[in-house]
Amino acid sequence: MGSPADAATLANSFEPILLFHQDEAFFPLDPKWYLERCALWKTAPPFADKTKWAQPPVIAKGTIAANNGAAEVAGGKTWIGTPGQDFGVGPLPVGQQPPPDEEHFLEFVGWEPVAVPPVTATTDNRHAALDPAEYLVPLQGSQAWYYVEYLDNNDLLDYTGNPNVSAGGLNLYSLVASNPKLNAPRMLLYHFLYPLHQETLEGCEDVLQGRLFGTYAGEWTCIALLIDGSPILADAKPLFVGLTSRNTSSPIVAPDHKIGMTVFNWTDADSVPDASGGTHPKIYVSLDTHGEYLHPGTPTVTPFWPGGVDPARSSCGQVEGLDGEIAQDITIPGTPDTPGRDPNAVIAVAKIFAGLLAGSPFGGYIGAAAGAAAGLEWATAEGAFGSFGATGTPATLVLPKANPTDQTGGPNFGRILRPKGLDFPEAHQALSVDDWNVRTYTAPAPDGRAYTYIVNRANQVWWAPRPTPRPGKPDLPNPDGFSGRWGPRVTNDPNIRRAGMKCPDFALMFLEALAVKLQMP
Amino acid sequence: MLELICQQRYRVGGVPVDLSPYRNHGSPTDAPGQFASELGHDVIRFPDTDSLVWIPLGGLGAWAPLVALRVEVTARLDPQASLELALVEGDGAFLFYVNQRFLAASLGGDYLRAAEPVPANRWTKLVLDHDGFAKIRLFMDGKLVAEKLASGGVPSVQGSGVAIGNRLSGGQPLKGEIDEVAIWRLDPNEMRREFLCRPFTAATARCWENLIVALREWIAAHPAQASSLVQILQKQLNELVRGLYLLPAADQASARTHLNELAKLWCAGNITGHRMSEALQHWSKDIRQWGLPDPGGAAAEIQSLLSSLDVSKLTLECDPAAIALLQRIYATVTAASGGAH
Repeated sequence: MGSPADAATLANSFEPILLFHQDEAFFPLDPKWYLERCALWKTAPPFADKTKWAQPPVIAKGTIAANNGAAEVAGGKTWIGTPGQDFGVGPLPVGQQPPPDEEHFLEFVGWEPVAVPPVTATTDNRHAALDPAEYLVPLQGSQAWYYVEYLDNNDLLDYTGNPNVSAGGLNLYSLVASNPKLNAPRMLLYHFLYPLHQETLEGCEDVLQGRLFGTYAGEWTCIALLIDGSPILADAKPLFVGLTSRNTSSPIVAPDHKIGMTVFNWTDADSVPDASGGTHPKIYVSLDTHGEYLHPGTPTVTPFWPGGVDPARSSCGQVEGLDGEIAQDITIPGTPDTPGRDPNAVIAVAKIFAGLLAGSPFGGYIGAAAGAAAGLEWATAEGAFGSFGATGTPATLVLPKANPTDQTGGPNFGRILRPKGLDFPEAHQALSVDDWNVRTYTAPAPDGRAYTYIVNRANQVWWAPRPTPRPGKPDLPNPDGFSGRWGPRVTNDPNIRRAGMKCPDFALMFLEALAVKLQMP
Repeated sequence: MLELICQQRYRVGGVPVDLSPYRNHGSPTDAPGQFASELGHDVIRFPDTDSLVWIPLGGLGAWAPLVALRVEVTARLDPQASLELALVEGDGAFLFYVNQRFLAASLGGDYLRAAEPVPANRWTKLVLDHDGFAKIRLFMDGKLVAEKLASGGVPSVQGSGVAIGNRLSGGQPLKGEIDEVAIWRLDPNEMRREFLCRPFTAATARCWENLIVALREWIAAHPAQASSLVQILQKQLNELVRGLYLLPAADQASARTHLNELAKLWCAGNITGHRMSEALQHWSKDIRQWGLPDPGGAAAEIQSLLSSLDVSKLTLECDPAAIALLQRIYATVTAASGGAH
């Protein structure tokens, strides 16, 4: 990987300014610190069934060692990367793994309501702990943090040269790593971990399902930079910046994608120069959802995956179970693509059923044949609408808002995290301004252990593994990594909406979004 | 309503990139990039017999089902190009190509060919449009150049996937360049989206959830009847929608207005009111005045297929509005057809 010294230099030069909303309760923290205060749980399918969550947790709360070494595991701790142990750490990324027959997740505060023991026959476990107050004690001693990952151009060439990296055949090697117009670019990724992502369906605050619709514990976000290849590091300039935000597409097509990334020209960012030649972009972080934006306001959130805006959001999320039933695979002999999803057939037949019920002697209204006829009329009218008449998603959807938005701070802000001492107008409109104090820490003698903030996948097994290198090729190595979730599984969660997030490969997410950006005029 | 499933551009050295969320980027073979000065960016060339961009089926289901299909290719043909040039092929589903310099398409058993040649050495937008039910049309730069009645919808793409710039098996490279390819299908989630847009309460949602659970159990226990039921439904719908697409433009617009009114009332939760009655009457009148197939015509057959359904364990009492709507539909249809139902 690129030299840690260069990583530190670049990270310092372009360290972002994060501007939070006045009501924001959660801020990025050190994943190593977080990991060491979690319990590690193991589950079997169906993963949302709490009776499948093995008890006790495979590593008890507060006894995980993030790093290896005698001093790290002293006091009865267990290194999460211990060879031969089943802790969710291995060499294969999720996309290369066989369908999982087990899963691991981290639990930091627990479930709502917080209980001891946390999972019993009588506990709810439908949501991760929700109240910010429940996080105050567990978060004591934490500080605002990020990890930075640096891929120099050789790393980028090696990473993108592996065709297993990008699904769908996207040639990121030619598009980015060796693109002459990008001048041997480098990549810098700032990884942020938040204890809780809170996502409400707008307008549905008074409905339980709507208020907690997409809330989960353990959220990863990223700010990614593509930097030119100037031979003198001090002259290097960012070309593009990638920012993450929540994904609102229907999970039945592509489940478990909680966020996506959008790439902007670096020149679109409002950056603040420092006295050392660095320049720092202002990133407006949305309230609760931690979407990252270049400008304050209420940006509209767009789906990053197929299926359009998720219809399960309708009726303030109360149709999620119904939608789950509609969208399940179905086998109807003799029909194309079966077994497979055929929501249209399910809905149409359901209307026939409804017609029969309305017309049957048990319903007692119009007679079974008449009911079947009415159901058939209804089904074909709706089918005709979808196949012929639709001129857009019906505009009358009131709850939740048809086009969800995020909400950043501004003109007044809550907390601002900034490079040390940097001054800019918004700093005078904030409730608090804190300098980033992200640095390599060396414990006092005689301990002497050093903790870095630079990603080193060989030593830090908590990062998700990357694709297997091809034999004999100069692909990036894929040291073991943790494929589990950074927050708990929850019950009644067929779409993995409220389960904790897996740490994505932000390098790939950035490069894919950049490939699309480069196609724009 | 159509759904974009692929939108390829080639603006960095001819490397294909799909802008749609389906990520159908594909892999190029012997298909280099070239700067097109008149466009100001790179495009892709297909100079050799085996040149193509191959798109595998992928795991997101973009290519099944298709039903409707719209393919737009912005291309420039070499003046010296050979006579058979493939634009886009979907395995077992469709072929959009240039035949003897004339735009042509083959879908299932349907074939059509334009009456005027594709101009050489000029950027031209070539379009294949199959509405999924009734008509297949070809356009060049917005001008209709061929039209044909369709025998059915577009089948799903089979295992070999999709080729751009050549046949899947090679041999008919597009001698020239492509700037952009965009492909749409009938949105398979439109009906689901519309059904779920009604303001459900927790109770009504649970009511329908239970109904669908029972439906699945019935399908699993009665696969032959389920298959027949779905086929009847599909036939009724196909005939109805085909009839709609074959109406004159003004009548199509009227039918769309009435269908959209029904959908809007449904989505607004205005299910049992006077406006819903009016909208149902309009729609029922549409069907009958234009001689479209009666959707309820197969009711007796369907009732027979469902004779094995034990309705005593099911109820719709939990959704009185749905019962009222069904009653209203039945009353409307009966009145419109003079009591035939």
